[in-house]
Amino acid sequence: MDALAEELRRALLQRSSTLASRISHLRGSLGDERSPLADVLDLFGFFPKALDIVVEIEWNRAPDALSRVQILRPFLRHVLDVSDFVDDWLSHAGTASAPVYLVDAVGRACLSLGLDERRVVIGEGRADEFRTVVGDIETAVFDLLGSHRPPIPTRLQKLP
Amino acid sequence: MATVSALPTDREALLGPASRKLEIGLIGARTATALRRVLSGAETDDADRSVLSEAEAMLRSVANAIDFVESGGSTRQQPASFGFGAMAFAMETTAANFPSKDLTAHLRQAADELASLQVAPNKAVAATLVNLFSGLADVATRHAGTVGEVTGTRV
Repeated sequence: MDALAEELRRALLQRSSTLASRISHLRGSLGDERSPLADVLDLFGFFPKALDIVVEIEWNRAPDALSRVQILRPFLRHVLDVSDFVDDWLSHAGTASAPVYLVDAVGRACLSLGLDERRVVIGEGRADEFRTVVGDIETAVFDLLGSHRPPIPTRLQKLP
Repeated sequence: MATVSALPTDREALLGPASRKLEIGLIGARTATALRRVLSGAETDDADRSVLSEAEAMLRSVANAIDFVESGGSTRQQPASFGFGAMAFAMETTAANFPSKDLTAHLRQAADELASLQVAPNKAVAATLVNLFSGLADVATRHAGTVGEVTGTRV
């Protein structure tokens, strides 16, 4: 059980580091631009830092390996979910399912049709299997980290 | 020109039901950890008491939800306050640990014991609860989905 706990911790910190790099890359490509996307990326950029701190605290508080495994497993699932969300919703540079050339092509086609005031939605799969999810993203991302989570910097809180 | 993408409904983990199961799994894991800290003789702190309080509230909500269903919806409490989706799952998981008869009484007794631990840590009381929350942690996390990699050892 000790080895499993160590392995989960390694996997978790590695994925946290990968997510931080991914967010940094996406945010860096926007430059100094202030936009809703840049603000959301800044908020998500705080998540890996907060996660690393919480993992360290939870690891040290846990009295045994079983406790560590039971706490780190949901954290690992959560960091994967956050990473997927970043890729699916915040990767303005394109994804495997909606590559950047396709995004650009649709954008150009819309402009040529005089649809510049419209928002393009590109989705994969059946047309009737999509739905809008309304929720507080700050809550969804950070609340699972629990009471040991460092406070979110004021400038990142409650984005429009 | 703004461009966004839409997602198939099976890929909304961060805002979907799987996230609620992760939340329940973490309540179970953190409560089991706090109980093991009591068993180990560690000094409990505000973080432990906060976790035990959260678990206590969850068990009381589960008991209230059962009462609501058994009464045919005639209790005074608003069902929205139960968080039914999560509660149904927690109920299903915790119910296996108690006799079906007087389930709500057992849940409220467990909640009372969690309340007592917040005031005065007691190893005997913690020992009666740790398996319940350890099991809840394992089941809820497993239902929330794979962690993305399998760790194994070759013999």
